[in-house]
Amino acid sequence: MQIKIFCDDLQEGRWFSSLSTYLAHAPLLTVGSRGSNPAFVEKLLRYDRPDIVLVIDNQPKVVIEKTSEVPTGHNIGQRFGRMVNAVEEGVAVAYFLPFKAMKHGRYANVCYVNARLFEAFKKMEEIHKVPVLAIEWPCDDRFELIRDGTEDKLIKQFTEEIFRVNFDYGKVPVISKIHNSMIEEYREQIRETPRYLNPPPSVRIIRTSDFVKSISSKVKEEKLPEAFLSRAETVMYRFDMTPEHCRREDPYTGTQFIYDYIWCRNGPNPRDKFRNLVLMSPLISKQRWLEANPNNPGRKSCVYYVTANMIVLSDGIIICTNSG
Amino acid sequence: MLTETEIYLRLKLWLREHTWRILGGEPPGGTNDIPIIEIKDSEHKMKGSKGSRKIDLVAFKDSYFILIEVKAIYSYSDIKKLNEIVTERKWRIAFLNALREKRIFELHGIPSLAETQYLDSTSKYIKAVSFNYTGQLGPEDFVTFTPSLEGIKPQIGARVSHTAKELLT
Repeated sequence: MQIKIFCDDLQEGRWFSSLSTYLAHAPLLTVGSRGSNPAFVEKLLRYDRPDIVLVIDNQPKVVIEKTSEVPTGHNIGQRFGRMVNAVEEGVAVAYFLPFKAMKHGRYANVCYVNARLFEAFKKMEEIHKVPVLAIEWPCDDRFELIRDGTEDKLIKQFTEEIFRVNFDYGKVPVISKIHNSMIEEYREQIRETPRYLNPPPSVRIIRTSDFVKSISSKVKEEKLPEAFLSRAETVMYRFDMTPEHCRREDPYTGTQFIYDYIWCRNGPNPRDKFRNLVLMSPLISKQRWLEANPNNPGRKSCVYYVTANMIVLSDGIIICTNSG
Repeated sequence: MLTETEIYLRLKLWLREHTWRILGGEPPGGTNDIPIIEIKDSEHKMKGSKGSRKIDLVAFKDSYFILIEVKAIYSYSDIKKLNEIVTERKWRIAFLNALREKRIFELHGIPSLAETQYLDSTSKYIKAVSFNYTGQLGPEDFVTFTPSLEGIKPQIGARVSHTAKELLT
């Protein structure tokens, strides 16, 4: 078995290779710029660059993400694109992150993970049939992240076990333990913050017929696709970027995937939706948007076009053909 | 030429080998095993990180702090930043506050410090930079760590205190 570790940054790669004896002698290779990597890595870079890709015999097996920041508020969507890309390619995801931790400074407080992350992960697993795991980076009784090496216990166990069963995920005992901890955390967060059960203020779900009426003045020569009109409801995700500061992808491109999986998707292809997903950026003109965020595969802005059905701007619309 | 990350990793190793306790820092990319020490500007009252300073590596040994900035090549802005943090009392206060907030001393079993010596004087701070050597070193009151494929070497400026010199050799 030929093992390779591709990493975006060397120190994360070293951390990962320290997790298992199977990885101790695996070469650490840095992910290069787009177009310069082997095809089996390149296909995982369509939406963003993952932290770590474990490759066995030239087949990516797991994408690992590691962060010491609690995904809350805007942070929640920041890494989602890379994880979605992985599952679309049938590659498992293990996201090592704090479920809670102290945020310091003048407004010091404990931050808790946004429960929607677990909900989106569950849908991604159901749809793509690969594990999508959130593995907790634990904290101490004062909510400081543990950094003495014991924090890696669960992810170490996961890494050891996937090798032992030759990546037959159905036979990895620790996965059910990880799932249980995700369910438990989700329930706790919902108990504490029931509003996570509903869309956030930036998201509205309306009847598609009402949506179509609301944009009638903006529709020029475009013909709304049949598939779009046939879906009874439309999810509108609004973000208010200004024309001066609209050349920006994070966190919106990642966050759209969360909303897509939770409220729209029912199949592995972005076209497989039971509700339309529409991105609303009402302060930006169509010309300014296309200038700042083109659908160019060489730019991360292309992710705006991969799953949303439409982008609505101040003076026009863009129909995203990728997602039908 | 080594990348910033490669220098950073060599430097961490060197510090550990020379019995410095690495308290925190901010890696050039990715997520690290050490906490980020964010020094907040006391004059900035709003939420967020605006005006704050993050030091690439902070380590402690025998009552001395070493503050290190890492780059692939010499950077005057790093020197300016460290001079500001060490020289200005408000930043020294903020630095100690940042360590206290994250319970860094407790986590490393460092007994309580006589804080006045860190607030009223700059003598317990060692300023250091690290970059690929291209003929230029940091100022005389700095330590410059120059990396090579074999490891890393501290070049100690003439105005670095004698005790600090001993801690680095």
